Amino acid sequence: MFWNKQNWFERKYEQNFKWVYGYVFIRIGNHAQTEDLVSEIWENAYKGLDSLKSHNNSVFCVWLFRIVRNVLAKYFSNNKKTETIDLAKVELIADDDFEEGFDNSKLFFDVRGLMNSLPEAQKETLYLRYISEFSNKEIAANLNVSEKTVSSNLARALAFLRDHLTKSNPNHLSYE
Amino acid sequence: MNNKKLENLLRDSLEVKAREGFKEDLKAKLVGETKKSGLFGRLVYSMSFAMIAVVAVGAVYFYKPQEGLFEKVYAENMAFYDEVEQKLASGYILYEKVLHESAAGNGVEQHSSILETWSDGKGNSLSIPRDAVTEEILGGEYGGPSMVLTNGDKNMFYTTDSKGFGLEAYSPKDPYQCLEKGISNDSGRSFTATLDVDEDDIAKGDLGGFGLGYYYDQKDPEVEADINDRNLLFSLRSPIADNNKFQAFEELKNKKDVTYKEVIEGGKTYYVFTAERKLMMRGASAVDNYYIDGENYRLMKVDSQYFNKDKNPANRSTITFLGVDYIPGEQSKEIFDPEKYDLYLQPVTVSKSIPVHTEEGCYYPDGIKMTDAENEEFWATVPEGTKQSFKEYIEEIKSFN
Repeated sequence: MFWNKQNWFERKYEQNFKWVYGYVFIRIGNHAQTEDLVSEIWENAYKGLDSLKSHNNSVFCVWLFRIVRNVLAKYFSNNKKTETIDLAKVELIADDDFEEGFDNSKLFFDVRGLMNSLPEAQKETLYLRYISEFSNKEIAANLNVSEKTVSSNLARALAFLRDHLTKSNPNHLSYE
Repeated sequence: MNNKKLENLLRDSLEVKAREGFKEDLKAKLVGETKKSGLFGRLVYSMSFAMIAVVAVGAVYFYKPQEGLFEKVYAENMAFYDEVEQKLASGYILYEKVLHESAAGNGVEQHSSILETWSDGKGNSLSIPRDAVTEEILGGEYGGPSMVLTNGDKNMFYTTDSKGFGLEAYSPKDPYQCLEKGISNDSGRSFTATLDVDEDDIAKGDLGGFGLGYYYDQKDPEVEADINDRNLLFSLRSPIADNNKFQAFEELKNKKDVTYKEVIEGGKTYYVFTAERKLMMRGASAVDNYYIDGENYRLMKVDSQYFNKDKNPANRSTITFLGVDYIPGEQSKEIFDPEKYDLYLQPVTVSKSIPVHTEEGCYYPDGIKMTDAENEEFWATVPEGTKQSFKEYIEEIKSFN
């Protein structure tokens, strides 16, 4: 009764825009297409808002993520493409001063290349964690797996990356 | 290992910036009219906050404590069983379960033993034993069956506990009737177990048989540092001597850190892969995946864990074998989908088998107290995302003591 749909949606938009865009982009690898898909996602979300049973933020995120996945699935289906893109070809945007002492560009390419070789579940978990900044609980809810599975996927993915980055260049990730 | 640095690197590597103005343009398109809301709209908006405040106060007032450990574990397991049932309903069998949480949950029931079995209707079944080893778990160790394999005639339990390892066979008709027991050497360092099925069984879709073994370290298992160098070994065997079936083995043979050999014994060929690996961090589970393609062969996983500092290697580490088998046929490709398989990976986590943390400090199960440096090191190895649940678990375990 007291719920103002537009204001509420606006807040959700502000809170969630960044990860939605980032997630879609990392899947598509192309800004122009990402803009179209992100627009479609948010339009669907706005239109479907009345069907949302709860206005709890975590419920909204799960719901929104479902829309994201549906829109992406439709996109991939229509384009008959696999969902895999070469992350190493994605445009770099990191700040030049991100970290001193090593070559950022090469490192980012290394990281992205390695991420491509991760199993899908681990990759997606990483995306949701580091693009969306979701907690393990939120990731579990979004991917419909247990928190333990999320933790293990994250731990394995991080260990894999750490291991390979260290091997490829011991200076990348120093031991403390 | 510097986790923070790696995480920052990931965030930066994955950071994506939208075109300037896109976000605002889209927002205006979607909710631009919000700004035109009148006084009434704003009033309603403000009142919604008031309602939230009232609800929040009420929620705090009526807050009830969470359910206990048993309910929690039971609920988690039921969710797992539901997943299993869904998988089975789709026509293939799944063998995989690590039961440490179940066993901890059973601690509430004290020595209860439950066996739950599902069948795919093709002569194969899935059984999940829930056999508590209560004292060991409450003492910071753990035990109990980890998984079960079955060929319709036998349920083979691969077990681990603080005293060693073994494999036991039970009748599927009577889960408490032990048919064979204990294939484990005295030291507990290694064992090999096989489940034999003949060619006719294979043709009918029954299991192809497997062998599993491991050993800690060829050098000196008593040396603490060598825990990180221990080798795992598992083997696959098939009664069908058809090398064409082993196409995927070639990939596995060439896998980094995996050595391969064939062993012919009793007229049968054993395909043995030895995976040398280092544990990622103390106490955390480390998982190797080996996908064996083919029509009659198993998908296998080996999961290992280091969990205390006992000088006896049998007491300080454990290994859990996770395998997925399938009925030859349409579902075989699905079962080999690593994504679907990953869903079922329930790795052993340090939190279920680790030193007991008390107000005075942290103790290994053998009673040796951790030094402050070790304690710090230990917590540094707990994955960030699991720290909170880990601490909660410790509190729960302490409450049982």
